[in-house]
Amino acid sequence: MSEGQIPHVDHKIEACLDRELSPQEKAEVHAHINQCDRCAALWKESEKVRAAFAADKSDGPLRPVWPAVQDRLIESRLSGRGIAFRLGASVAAAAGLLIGLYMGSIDVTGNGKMTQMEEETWSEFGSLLGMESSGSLDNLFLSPVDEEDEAL
Amino acid sequence: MTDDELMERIADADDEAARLLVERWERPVFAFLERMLGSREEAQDLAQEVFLRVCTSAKRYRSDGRFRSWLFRITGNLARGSLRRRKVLSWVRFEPGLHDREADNASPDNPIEGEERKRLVRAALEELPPRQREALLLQRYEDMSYQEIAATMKISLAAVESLLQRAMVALRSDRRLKRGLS
Repeated sequence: MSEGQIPHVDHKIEACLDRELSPQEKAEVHAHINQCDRCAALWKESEKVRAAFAADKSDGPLRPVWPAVQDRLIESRLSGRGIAFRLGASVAAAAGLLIGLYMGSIDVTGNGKMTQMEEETWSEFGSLLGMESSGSLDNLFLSPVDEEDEAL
Repeated sequence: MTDDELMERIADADDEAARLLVERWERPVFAFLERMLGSREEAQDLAQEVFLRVCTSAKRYRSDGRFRSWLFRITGNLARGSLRRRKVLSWVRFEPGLHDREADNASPDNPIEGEERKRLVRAALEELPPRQREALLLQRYEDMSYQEIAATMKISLAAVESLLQRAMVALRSDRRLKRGLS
């Protein structure tokens, strides 16, 4: 069989050298290379390049990697705690606002008086918190302490 | 202790486990980055970034015995990101002319050895497109199978074969490398 009639195996040479071919495919590649100067030359060139790669050794890191990684881990944990604190503080502030609004008995309908449903709702809320609702806008800015002082 | 076992401990903020894992993998990760980027300093910085990501992502890691693939996926992504930024900044890669001088000194009667050969290999690698370079480094230096490379780079097996084939064709044709190796 002349070289012109043999299907070349250059596309399989690398896979063969990388041991990725089945035993049958590998045998076919070797059989072809024994008859084809072109593919045999490519095989030799590949082997040389691979040998050069094998000789290229890394000297390893310039310095141990762990200390710097540890520092950054600590830093990220601390900034994570900072975020959690701010989030917690925001939630606490929102809860405080709600409680304050309840204590001031905001008129959610805008007509100066609570509806019976609103009164019942706030009353339930207040009993959960152990407080009484006053039911009008007049006491919006009065705290229970202020009311006691006024009474005195 | 296996890598998966260490990762479970790292997810519980065990710094000793993190230290063990970093020390186990720092050399191959650094070597990969050094060859991808062509700079030891940059490889050092990026290696820190790789392990920081590994540690902070520990809770999301699935223990399925494929730690190496996962590690080198992170490493490859960071390396390619760095190369993209470098391209944008038009950073000069190796010292220009150094490899040319070395290659010019070569002749068929005086093949280049040792450090010079290493520089030729690195220079030839640096000419490859990042994806080809990455696949080649995983195959040559990490001894990964094509299947594992495909899992690491999240590409098909056929794509791995194509990348490696094109990479080796380019390297075989590299004039300076060819002269230096003859």
